[in-house]
Amino acid sequence: MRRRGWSLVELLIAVTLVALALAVPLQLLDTSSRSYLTGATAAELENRARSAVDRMAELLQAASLASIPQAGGGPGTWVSSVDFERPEGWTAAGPTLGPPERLELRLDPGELANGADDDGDRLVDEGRIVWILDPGGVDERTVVLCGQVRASPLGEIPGNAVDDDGDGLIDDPGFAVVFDGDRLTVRLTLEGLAPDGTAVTRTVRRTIALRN
Amino acid sequence: MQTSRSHVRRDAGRRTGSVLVFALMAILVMTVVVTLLTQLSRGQDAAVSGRIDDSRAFHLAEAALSEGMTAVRAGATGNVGRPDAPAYLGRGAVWVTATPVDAETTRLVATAAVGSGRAALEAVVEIVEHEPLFTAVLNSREQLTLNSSVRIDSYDSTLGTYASQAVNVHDGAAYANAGGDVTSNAGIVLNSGATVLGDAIPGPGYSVAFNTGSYVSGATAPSPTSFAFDPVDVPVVPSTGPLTVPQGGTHTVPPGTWGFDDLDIERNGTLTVVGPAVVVVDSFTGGKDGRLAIDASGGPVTFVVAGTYTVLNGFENVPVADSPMAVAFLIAAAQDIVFPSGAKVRGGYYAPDANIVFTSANEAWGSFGGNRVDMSSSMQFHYDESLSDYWANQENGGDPLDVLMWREVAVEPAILLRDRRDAFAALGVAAEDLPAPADAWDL
Repeated sequence: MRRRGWSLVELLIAVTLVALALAVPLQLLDTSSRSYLTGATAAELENRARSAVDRMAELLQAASLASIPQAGGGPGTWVSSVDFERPEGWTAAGPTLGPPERLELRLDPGELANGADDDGDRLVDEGRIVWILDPGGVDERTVVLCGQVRASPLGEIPGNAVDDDGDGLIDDPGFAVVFDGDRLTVRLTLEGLAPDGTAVTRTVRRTIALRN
Repeated sequence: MQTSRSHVRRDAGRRTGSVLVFALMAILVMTVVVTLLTQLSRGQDAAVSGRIDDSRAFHLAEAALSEGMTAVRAGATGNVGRPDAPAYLGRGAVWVTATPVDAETTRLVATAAVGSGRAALEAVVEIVEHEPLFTAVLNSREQLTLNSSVRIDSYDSTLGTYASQAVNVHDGAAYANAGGDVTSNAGIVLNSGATVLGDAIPGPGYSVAFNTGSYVSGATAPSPTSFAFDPVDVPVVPSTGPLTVPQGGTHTVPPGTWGFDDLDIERNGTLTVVGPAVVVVDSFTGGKDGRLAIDASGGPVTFVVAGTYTVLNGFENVPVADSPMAVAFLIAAAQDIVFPSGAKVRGGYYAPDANIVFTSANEAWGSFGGNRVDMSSSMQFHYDESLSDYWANQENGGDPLDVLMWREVAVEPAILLRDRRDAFAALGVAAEDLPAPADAWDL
């Protein structure tokens, strides 16, 4: 019996046909893969933003309203740093307040507020939310609640004295707290990069009632 | 010829290849990758599920704390269930431990366990008894003297204007209802022609003195107790600065709790406040012919004035269309509150340390309580019966319970934090055997 193999021409034709047949599904796979990765990045950002806002809510809802010097602003004014104290016990004289605490927005190390990516992470003027216990005191401790805080919410142009994104706040940063009597609203915008370099942004908002 | 069989035998001997090995390796790698991904996914699910359960536990603890407060309001201890006999709520187990601090104050710790979530909240609450502020048209700490020809009756602003209700006649003059009570912690003196269509109740040991032509339609026996005249508790509300309504201008304050430094309604200006609202100010000034418009259709409006209250000629409090005149001024300062001549005064005024002075020929619709109430002759006072519905207590919109402190605390017993099994399994109870929180008071 004569053994036959593949001739070079047959092999080239077969490879070409297989390549043509696989081109479309591979393209679809690439597109869906990109979408998946972008979505995964967005979901992760949303998750981190919600976790950070939930943690801030836990801290602030127990804060004593009288201990918050920034609480005088009404709707339309924002702050990105909140000083507060929380009760840690009760005596005959009333609640005893714990050490002073602060939540504030800080630029990432190596980053400057100059509209440029100074630290080379392809994010511009990004910051982090820090929780400081006993700010300025001997027992000062700092905990980073989340990073990748966008310089300003999507659509907001900083420094132009205009509410560009229509959220009722002018030139607000990516972390803004708005007080309204004994309630406050926290707005947090995070930005990340999908593996393909696409910028992804997520904003989370939560209103908190102060209990003390 | 055995060519085919030998051919097959030779081919069988020569059949070699490593495809099976590669296939098995690929399957092994895929299995490991899938297993790792599954574990990762389960871990993330567990973390998310844990956060969800903790959030649910927090809200259940809040609900349990609220149940404990309800129990305290009702005169119970505040205990709801026990750690070994909790109550069932929202697919979880809850209990509240109450510890008396003093006669009026109780410490409540509410604990909740649902799924793998655990949470505990502490509140210190105080029962605050306040006498209703606006149950009489005039209420004074010192002797109350009704000047000559003063007329007092009552109406209900929720039913419309006074004029629409003044369909009765007494002594040739129209009146609405005979609920215009006057009270004092001391004596009450009616000068000539003064008419009270209601009760005149002096303080314990005092009496009502009648002069020529004066008349009281209702009771005059002294009260067995004096009115407390509790000081005005100015709530701590951060101020947003001064509020000034410019001459001829308008401004609206929406519902909510607001703090301002000085509130000044300039000449011909109009400030509209939409209830329910609490407005805390350092001082209140109403300019000539200015207006304070009240929209209480959604709820009452309360002004708490830490300092002075000043209004000029022509200034009025008015209700917007179809709104009751449910506005109260709680004034903490001791400076006299003077209503100028011709003033049309509406609403409830409580100024326990100040004298309230009606200068001449004013007409007033509402309720006025202070250290002393002075009036010109021929004044007309019309008690607004609806005011007592809104201000049964001085604070908290009628809630006798003050929350003095609230915070999250560590869950007790601590083993619950380590044992993150289903809540009922961790507590060793069966869900179907547990009572509802309302049935678990003082178990």
